[in-house]
Amino acid sequence: MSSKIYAGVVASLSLLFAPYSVAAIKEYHLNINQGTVNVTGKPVQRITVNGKFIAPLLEFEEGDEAVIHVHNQLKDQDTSLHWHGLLLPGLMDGVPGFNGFKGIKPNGSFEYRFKVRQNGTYWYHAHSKGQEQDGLYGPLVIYPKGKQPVAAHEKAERDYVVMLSDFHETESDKIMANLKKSAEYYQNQRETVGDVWKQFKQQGLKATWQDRSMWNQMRMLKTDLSDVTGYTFLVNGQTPQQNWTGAFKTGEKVRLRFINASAMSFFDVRIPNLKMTVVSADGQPVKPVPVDEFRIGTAETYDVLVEPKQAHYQIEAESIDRSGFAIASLQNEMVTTPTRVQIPKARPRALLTMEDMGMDHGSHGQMKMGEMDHSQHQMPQEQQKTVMTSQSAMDHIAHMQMNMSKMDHGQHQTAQDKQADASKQHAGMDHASHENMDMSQMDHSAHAQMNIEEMEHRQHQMKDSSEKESTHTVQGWANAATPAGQKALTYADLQSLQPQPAKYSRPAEREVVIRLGGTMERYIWTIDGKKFSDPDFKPLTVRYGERIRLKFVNDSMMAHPMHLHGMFMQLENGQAPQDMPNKHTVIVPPGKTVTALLTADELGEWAIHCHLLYHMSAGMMSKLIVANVDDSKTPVQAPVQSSQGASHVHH
Amino acid sequence: MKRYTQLLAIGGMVSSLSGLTYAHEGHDAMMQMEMPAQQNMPVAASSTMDHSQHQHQTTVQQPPETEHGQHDHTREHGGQIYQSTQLDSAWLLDEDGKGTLKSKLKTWIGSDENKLFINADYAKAESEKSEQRIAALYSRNISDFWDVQAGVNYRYNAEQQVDKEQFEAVVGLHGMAQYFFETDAHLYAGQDQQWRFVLETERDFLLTQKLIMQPYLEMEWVLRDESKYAAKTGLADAEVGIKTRYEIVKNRVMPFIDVAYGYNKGRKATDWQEATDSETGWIYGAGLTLKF
Repeated sequence: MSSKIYAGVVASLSLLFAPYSVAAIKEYHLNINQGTVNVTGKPVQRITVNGKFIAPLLEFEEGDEAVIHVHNQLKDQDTSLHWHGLLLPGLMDGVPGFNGFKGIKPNGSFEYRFKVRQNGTYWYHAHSKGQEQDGLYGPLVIYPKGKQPVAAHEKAERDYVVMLSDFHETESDKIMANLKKSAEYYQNQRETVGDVWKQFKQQGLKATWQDRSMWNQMRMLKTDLSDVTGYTFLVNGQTPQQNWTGAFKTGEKVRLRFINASAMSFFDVRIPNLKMTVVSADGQPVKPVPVDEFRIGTAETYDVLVEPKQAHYQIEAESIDRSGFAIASLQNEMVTTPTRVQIPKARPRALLTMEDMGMDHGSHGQMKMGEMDHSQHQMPQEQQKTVMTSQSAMDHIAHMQMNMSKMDHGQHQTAQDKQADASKQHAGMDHASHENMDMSQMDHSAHAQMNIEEMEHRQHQMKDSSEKESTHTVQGWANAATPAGQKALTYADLQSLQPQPAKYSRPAEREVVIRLGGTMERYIWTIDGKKFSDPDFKPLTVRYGERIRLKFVNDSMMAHPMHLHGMFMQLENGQAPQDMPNKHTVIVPPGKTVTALLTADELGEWAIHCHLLYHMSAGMMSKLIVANVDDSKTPVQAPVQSSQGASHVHH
Repeated sequence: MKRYTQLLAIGGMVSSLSGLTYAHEGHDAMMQMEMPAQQNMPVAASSTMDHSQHQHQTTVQQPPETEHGQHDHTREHGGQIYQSTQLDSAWLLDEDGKGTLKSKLKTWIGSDENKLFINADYAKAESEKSEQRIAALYSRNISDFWDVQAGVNYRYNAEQQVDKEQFEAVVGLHGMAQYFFETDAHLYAGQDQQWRFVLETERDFLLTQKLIMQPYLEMEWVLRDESKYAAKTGLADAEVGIKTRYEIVKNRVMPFIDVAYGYNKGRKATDWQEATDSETGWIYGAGLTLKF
């Protein structure tokens, strides 16, 4: 009798899991070890995977059962691997201390096993100390089932990973220690007395003082675009001289899977003379966007399609601090004479502005914006210069920011649209942020009005730059100095290829504000004012199935690529809810607010952190807990088992 | 020098231990909840969970290994221990051509919140005996840019016949004021009603990325002094100068030249010394800063 029941159970189970049993098991072995690596001409000890510097490409098909055996052969340290952007059970996410995962001890192994539930371009990397910088990272590509393109336009004859990374001769531990010794350890583009003198001659004492005093009071540098310099930028582990080359034949369509696997670097990516069509962001398909260039934040991925016509193209990814390029080539294999690599001329380095400081949200910025005279803004630059009083000097600066930061405008508009419908739900919000938002809304309206002329102004200023000295230095974090007439991708351009299902397009039930803060001078970086190590750190708790709005408010002067593990967020970029793109990493520019929606449909505890490695090391990390609780406030904190049991009885 | 290292090591251990205990408190509490949530993964689709099962799992995941397996986030995400040491040595001449060798050691070890500072000075003027002092300060971060400090200062003056060795209690502030002024303000209290307040501030001006001018100001007020070698009360010592360094190896090897104008109010007449008049004059010299 009982055997019959068992048989029945087995039968029904096998039916239930039928699709699983059909799925192919894709197995990998990764041996993590130490080895001598020579990238820059100086041999150094770094982490190798299966004997190679830069971990190998892992390939899967959607529906596969992934089995990855990771063996830690490092002598003296734990390791871990995190599958960046993948939907999987929490234990398999690979963050030590989360979901019961304990890291992989020396001489130990861990078997990662999970069902591959998605397709696209992803990557994997260590989540232990600075091992990611030291070489423990690699690409991970999941093809759609049967390798069929997700849409007809995505059909390509060639498919290459272009993984960008930053290599340093100094080990990660040492870099972090250096940053703690002196915030300016790697700052070699600081402004000098000469720069102040130039500004004084140009703008006069009052304007110079007003501008400088603000920065000095905040104890911040305008030149702080990247914390660490001295990097050699790599494409698929190759230096510009080594010149990684992707081959193609005449008439072929090529898919390039860009992954920013660097520890600390943002890149502006372009392929001169070749239009790129962005078809995927963070592994998730988007409606095609033709662009000339795009900015890729640390840990983001973009897939682009190109149709090369020339015999040779150079892929150029320039770090935003303009300290170097990652360079690769596309070469027509029918043409036998390959072209030598040419290191392009660096674009001008941007200076941070008061907008990046978040000043337009303060009373100061607000006042100026309010007084803004639009006719004045249409005035040519030279005229404005002559009527420059202290007042107009301020306007002038604000004006410039507006012209220049095109990318931000997209977001501003977004924010505005969103705020209109969101304001109803905000009754419960804390007063401070509410107030802040109202102000920003005012600013945004001003911005929005400026938008029409924006393109024109930008170009105008580019041309002016030779005669007008202040534009020698490009103003504002978001300004990539894109040449006139060229199209750079913005977040606002991204639209989900398939309409988001109801689950991912419904409005948020509540808002969670995540404040990003920190000081460069002390090299402390925080989320909601806390480091992850702080004794009074509190995780964020979300009810399973709940739809929330994550509002990232950047109070600092650095851009933070905020990465959420285990789930995709729908970026509020001004698109209709069903068109919002999925993202696992969202750049929050300095002084800006970016929002994303999240349906908490993966149980477990998920890391949410800044993907700049040394910011995370400094404490800029938090934990988002998705749990089945009827009251999201207290039960999670229940310290003892008995009380927890009790709380469940109440259900 | 060995002493220092021992002291530093002890300081480091103390602060790291306190950090560790904190971290465990924080994370243990969180851990208990997630395990069951995690295990329910496969049936995640239904929002009404089987609670009897849930409860069962809670008991299962209790064994102490789980707690031992806790990851120590202090070591990786904000609670790490760092250190920094700076040694300045300079040969300085006054207007009469009299030379003085001055060395200054500043070192700290600790976390963002809790640090141990060791500050030591050594001065030896030509045809005079050396003067030295060393302070050990506990430093607690109180705001983004400021630490409060408290500790002990030990002074040794070979020129003095008695009271060669003296201990003082120190409290003060260490940090960076607006406009990037690195600032130290300390109050010293010693035997015989010695109360001194010392203020030091400096700021970098970059001529180039490597050639850096650093104006500085050092002032010492004697609030009260009943000691045998008492100084006149009021602003007793002041020095304003410009140190210009060239960073041969950034943050490591930095030779400098130093030009300053100094003021000293002089000594009070006591049973042990005659009164002296105030002095002012130029001081100039060169030296080397090492940082590691």
